[in-house]
Amino acid sequence: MLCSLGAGAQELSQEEVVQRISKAAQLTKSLQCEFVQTKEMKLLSDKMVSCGKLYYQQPQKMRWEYTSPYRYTFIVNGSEVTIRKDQRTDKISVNDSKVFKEITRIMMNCVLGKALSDNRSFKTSIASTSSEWVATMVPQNSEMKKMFKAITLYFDKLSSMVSKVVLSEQNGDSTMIEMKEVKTNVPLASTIFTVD
Amino acid sequence: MRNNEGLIIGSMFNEFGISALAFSYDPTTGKVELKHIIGMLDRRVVRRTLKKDISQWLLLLRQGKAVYINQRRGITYILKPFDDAVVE
Repeated sequence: MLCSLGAGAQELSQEEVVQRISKAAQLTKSLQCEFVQTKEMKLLSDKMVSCGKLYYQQPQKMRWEYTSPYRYTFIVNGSEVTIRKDQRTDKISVNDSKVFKEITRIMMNCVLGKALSDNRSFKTSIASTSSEWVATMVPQNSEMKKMFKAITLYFDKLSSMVSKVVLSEQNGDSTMIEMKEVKTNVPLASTIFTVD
Repeated sequence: MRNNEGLIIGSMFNEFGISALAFSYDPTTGKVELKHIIGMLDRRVVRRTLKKDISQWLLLLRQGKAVYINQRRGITYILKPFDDAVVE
């Protein structure tokens, strides 16, 4: 059961929740996990499951790698994005593309939950269950609004970390990304953020 | 893609699961209708090209061919089946 955050003695205010999550994000120097992505297609009444691994290192490095059923790697290393698919590698400077810059910024911010503080990009409301905070973020930017109805982040209350992301599209499709085997602040080799 | 009482219904999305478009295809007429298209592709010339290309590669797929090249626009479509296990 969801309930909105209120002024009850044991419930935190929305601002307090955001502060807790922001603090946890600041303290997370690195993160690695496995993820399961489930795409639900409204028109086809179908689901598609893919799996992969995610690595993140402060301040601006991320490796998002799909391992099944396709191999696809998306690496952000500072201002450079590298995409590897099959035998092909493409490199893009985010400074040359406003869209890419925005996409990578939002991805990085969603992974740790920093997006909750991004009032320019999202209008956010937070609800609470016994074990999770559920943040529903409605895009404010016109380009994002055309694609997404909302992005919902689920935070584990014990760790204040993102455990699940749901992207709800305007066409009724949705994509859920569940993060598993999360490890924080373990050393990551720099080669993780370069192409193999 | 799915066969829905003779009409083929399909969806195209990227690796992150973001939908690019959804379509229906009538094999008897070869006509493609776009049910949904992402904003950045929603231009008349792009829609026209996509409808034509989808119709062409669906026709080739029925002939057992998995590659279609739109020479004029320099677009190559390579179709590979997914394992049934990943689609529920």
